[in-house]
Amino acid sequence: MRIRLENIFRTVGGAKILDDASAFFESGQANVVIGPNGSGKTTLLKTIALLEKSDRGEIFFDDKPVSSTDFSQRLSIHRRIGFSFQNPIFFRTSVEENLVYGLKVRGGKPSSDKIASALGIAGLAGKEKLQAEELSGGEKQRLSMARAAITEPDCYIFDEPTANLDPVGAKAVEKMMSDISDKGKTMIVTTHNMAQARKLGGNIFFMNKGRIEAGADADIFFRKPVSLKAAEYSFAENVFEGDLEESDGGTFFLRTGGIKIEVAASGQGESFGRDNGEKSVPGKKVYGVLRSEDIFVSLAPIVSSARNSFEAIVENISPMGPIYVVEALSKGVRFETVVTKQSVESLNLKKGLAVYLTFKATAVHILPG
Amino acid sequence: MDFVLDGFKHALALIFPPRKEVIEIALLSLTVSGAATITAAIFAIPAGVAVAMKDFKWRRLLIGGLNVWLAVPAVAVGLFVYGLISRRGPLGFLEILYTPYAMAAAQALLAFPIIFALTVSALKNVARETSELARAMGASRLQTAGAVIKEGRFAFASAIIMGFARVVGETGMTLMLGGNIKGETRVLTTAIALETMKGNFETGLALGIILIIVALAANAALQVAQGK
Repeated sequence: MRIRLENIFRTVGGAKILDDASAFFESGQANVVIGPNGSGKTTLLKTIALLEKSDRGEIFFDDKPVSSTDFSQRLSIHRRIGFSFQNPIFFRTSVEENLVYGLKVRGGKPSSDKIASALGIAGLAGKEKLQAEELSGGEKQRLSMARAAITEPDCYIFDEPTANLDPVGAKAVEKMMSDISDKGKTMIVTTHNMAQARKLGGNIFFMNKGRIEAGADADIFFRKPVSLKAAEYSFAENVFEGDLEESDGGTFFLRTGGIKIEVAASGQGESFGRDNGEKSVPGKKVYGVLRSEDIFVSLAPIVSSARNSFEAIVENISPMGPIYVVEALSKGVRFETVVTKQSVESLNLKKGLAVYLTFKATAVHILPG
Repeated sequence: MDFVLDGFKHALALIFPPRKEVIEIALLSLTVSGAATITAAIFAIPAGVAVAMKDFKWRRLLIGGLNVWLAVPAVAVGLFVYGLISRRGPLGFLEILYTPYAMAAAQALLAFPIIFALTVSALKNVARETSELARAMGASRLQTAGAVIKEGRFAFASAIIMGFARVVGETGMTLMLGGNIKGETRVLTTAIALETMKGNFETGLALGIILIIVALAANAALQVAQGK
């Protein structure tokens, strides 16, 4: 099921919830929508599922517009979608009755095998006779997703399915999403969890103030965020504000603090910029985004194809799970990088030590100021 | 104190076994108030569900108006109905003044805002959530309405019981429109007032005990409905 949104607007009580939102959700893959609280993600999902009306704009399901469809056509679309709410709500009845509701309203007779299978996938085997409200938060979330999945829809829409779940509960929900993704079904998921967004793969859409800024492949999204806001939101560790300069030889530099970082032109000629045509030109203020994992740490300058190497003083080393975050200062510019425990030990990294930070010009993504 | 205790003894003797007249009065009370409550519920519950589920321009004004209606004294409602159905009133041709129909009509008007307001208040969140959930699950309009009614059933029961409890104990309005005619429009509250004024304290007390039992039964039913 391909879903396309064109210029969707939605205003509630004078507040713009969706502001010219456009996107294309590819069929048969995960589409992850991320964005700050209040950016309009839930309203977007409900609008896609035809649970809320937009003020303007058009939604296309498999290239067919649906804004002016009658109730029976909307009902048939509802029945092609499996929706799981951010705060799962249930009918005041048993787990099993909630699970099979979607099947029943479609006139289907749920088989005991199907119920048992759905309960098993959701990790709720043996709890079918309990009242749905008696379940824990994680169980409720899984029931909500299983309820959406039992009808085998063409498209799954999950609104922050792991919000408020502990790591074990979140893992179980991620497993359910991964299984759905493996089936080649269209899935639209909102999340604040960047690791989860990366894990789900597919396309990532960044939403801010009711707009969908852009959709991109997960790897591109994290390496080349579409805006400063997207960079901040996706936890880009190194964001440098500076001026873009061009040397006589046609090489570009980002001057920030006391250093000049060589950067690579992303497009044709001397232009740096975004897909929407907004350019960063030499002499203008820009931002450079650099992922911490793209920086090498060494005790001496290394000979390589990397165009940037700066001497820096280690300011802080802190463990973060299996890796260490190293913060180092070079001529007033703070860098953050990650190394393994073995690297910390073999390099004898400690506070105050002089190190060299090396990274490629192509690792720096330039955003207009 | 002896006066009260003797009154109790005589009252209990009137109830166990109950006298025919006492049974008739109690049954008429239940019939009139029951019919009034059901009539009010038939209009108030669908209206309450609609208002709880839909956002429309005059919604707040409508709810505010019904809250004002809630605050109108029962005797004023009785006066209004009297004006309508008295011989010179616009509905005088119906000739229902001093009949159980007049009492039931007034009681229904009294019960309507109670049932409506309680339905709206109880369903404010439930109806929208249930409706959205049912639609998201692929329910048709009829199936969605069925789901909302099913989810709201305890709220409806509570609203109906509260409405009944309010009208079954109403005296002034019922007296004004029914006339407290023996064997015709005499109900528990009007009979209690009459017997007490006549000096038949024990009869009044006997009827009062029955009224209290009815009210307590309604309250117990309410507790059960809310506890579900």
